[in-house]
Amino acid sequence: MTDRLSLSTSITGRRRLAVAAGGAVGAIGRAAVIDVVDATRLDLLWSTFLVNALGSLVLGYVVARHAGRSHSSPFLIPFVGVGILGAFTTFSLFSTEVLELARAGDWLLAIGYPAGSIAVGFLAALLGVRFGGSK
Amino acid sequence: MTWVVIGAFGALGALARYGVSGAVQRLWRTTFPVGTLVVNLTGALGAGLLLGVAVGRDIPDLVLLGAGVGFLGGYSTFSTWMVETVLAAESGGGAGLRRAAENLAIPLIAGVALAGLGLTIGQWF
Repeated sequence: MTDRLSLSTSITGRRRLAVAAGGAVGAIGRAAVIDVVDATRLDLLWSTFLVNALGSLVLGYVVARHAGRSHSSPFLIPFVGVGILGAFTTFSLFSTEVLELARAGDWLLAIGYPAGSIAVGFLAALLGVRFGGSK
Repeated sequence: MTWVVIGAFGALGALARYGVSGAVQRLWRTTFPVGTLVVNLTGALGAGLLLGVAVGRDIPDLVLLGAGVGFLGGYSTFSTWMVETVLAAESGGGAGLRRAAENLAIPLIAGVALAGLGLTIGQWF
């Protein structure tokens, strides 16, 4: 029992807790974006595109500003970076969307959607890293 | 209720990602972000499986939302993939750019292929 207690209060245990709490926030945030996009009757591809671009921008900033910095809380990257932003963005849904577009024979989108997501996601992450790294 | 389920499974997914990607990266001593790669590819396989199993079946929405939007969405990650690619590109010169290009192409192609494999296997059940 004391072992279990000491495990849950260790740095590792508290980091895991921060990741889990952030993961809940990120997943709910993504679901909220899906709901909003759904309500506007836009194609749901837009919700995935949006969360992935936005999450890449903010994660770039957070990593450049806080990763390995002594002035930052040791729980900031686990909570915000790994938890919230990791869970807010998604690769599994992205992959199945591309697969479904290809299966439907919609080649324009089957190529354009992943190309656009990756180009915008990369530029967003780059922008975030530049902002976060500047003094 | 839906939000609670998505949040709980999202927490589990993020925790699983943290564990798997950390363990893979420690075992495979490479600078290539193989931890994120393994997480995203298994996540794509899982999403394909879920899609395949759900075809023509009456699976409750809450199960699909929990497993798909919650767990698999929380488990896989796009932002880490992008930031790791940017860091690879900025690690210097032509070698850095080549590593960034590899880190974009390999997960994309393998992810769609594994989602397809999952879909095929899922439909057998």
